Amino acid sequence: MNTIKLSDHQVFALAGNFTMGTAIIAVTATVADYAKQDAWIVALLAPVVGLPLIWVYHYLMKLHPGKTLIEVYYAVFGKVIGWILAAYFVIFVCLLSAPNIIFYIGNFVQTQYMTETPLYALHFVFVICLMVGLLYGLEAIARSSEISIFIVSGLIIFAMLMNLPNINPKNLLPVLEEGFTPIIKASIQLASNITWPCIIFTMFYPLNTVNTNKTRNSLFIGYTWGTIINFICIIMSVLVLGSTITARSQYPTYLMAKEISIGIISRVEAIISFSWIVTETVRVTFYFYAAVIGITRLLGLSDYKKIVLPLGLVSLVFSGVTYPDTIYPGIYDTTMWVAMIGVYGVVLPILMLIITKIKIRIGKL
Amino acid sequence: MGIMLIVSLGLFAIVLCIVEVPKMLNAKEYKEMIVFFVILCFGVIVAILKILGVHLINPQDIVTFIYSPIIEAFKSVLEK
Repeated sequence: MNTIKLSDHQVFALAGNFTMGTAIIAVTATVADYAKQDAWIVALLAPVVGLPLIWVYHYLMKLHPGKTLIEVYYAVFGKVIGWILAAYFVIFVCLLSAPNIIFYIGNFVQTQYMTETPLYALHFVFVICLMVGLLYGLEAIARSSEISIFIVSGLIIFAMLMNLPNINPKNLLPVLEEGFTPIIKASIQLASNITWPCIIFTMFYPLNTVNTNKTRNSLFIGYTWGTIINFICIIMSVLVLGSTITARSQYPTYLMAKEISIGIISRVEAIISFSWIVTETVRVTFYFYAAVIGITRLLGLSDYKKIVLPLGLVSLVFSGVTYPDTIYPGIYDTTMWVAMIGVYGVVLPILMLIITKIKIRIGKL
Repeated sequence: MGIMLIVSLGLFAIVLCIVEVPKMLNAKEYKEMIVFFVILCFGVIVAILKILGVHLINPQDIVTFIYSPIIEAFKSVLEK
């Protein structure tokens, strides 16, 4: 089952796509809402503060070679508590994220392109893509993201360059109007979307890679790549639209791409939505893959492909239930999601690293 | 419309069983088969309830319930 080995470049592409995922379109508004015109400082600060955390994930998994996160929970907390913690992680963090992201994409397509199509019709098409990707396996996902990362990054950078004539540097002033407090709050929001979910990587990271030490670099480079793209999106949104419009619109980057008008090049917002949907697909595939692998490991099954289609049906149904309206995600993602991923992405990994170190010192591991 | 949806849902479930179950029986993977059927039954039941317009419990409300004490403590950090 674990014979799949990812190359360094594939890990880089996966990490990059995953980090870009939600951040390009959906998080920009939240960050601008908290930090106003200082959103670009947040986009610099949050990833840099997050780097040590990525190292913690790497180091924790290096101390437990050949295990996924589920087995690390077992090894650190014992069979019973570890099982409960892992089950909560798999169901509420990984599995529940899949319908949420499907809703994000369906809602985006519905409000911007197909206003009369029912949400479930859009979700259905998307779930089919997801299922096909998962049934082909991790290697197919990795290869497709290897192709897509440069296309996606290129398109986004192209759109941002086309926007250069529209920028207004006055939108960045005054810097630090309300001190550092809004910046820290906004950094927590941004980190909860781009840094802390990287704990998902530990479901495949040392297990399906050849050389942990060499792959570490590509993990870091991929993460940095994603955050740089994210930084460009956020700073351009604030520069072009101003912080007020960025905070109030649902999809600021998309709105900004509509402003492009150079010669015959105009209305190229579709390239932004294309890049976003592609990266978001990688992200949702990842959450789902982690959930399926997690369930397989929790229950001690031999093959994960058997339960992919039934779980796809469950996700499809719940994609219309988890977010009943468009107000709900705004509240849920800024409070509950931050608390949940904060526990599983920050508190528990650091705690597990400390316990592992102590256990190794006293010779119990 | 609702009947069509339920019929196609039933077809999906039956075809899935026809394709998957013999493979699992041949490989003697009984544990997989139990998990497969539990998840499939759950999916079919919630799908039928959703088609009939029954209000399903939102799993995120469960999360909200579990985390509300923590959220209360960190309210000043999380809210603007």
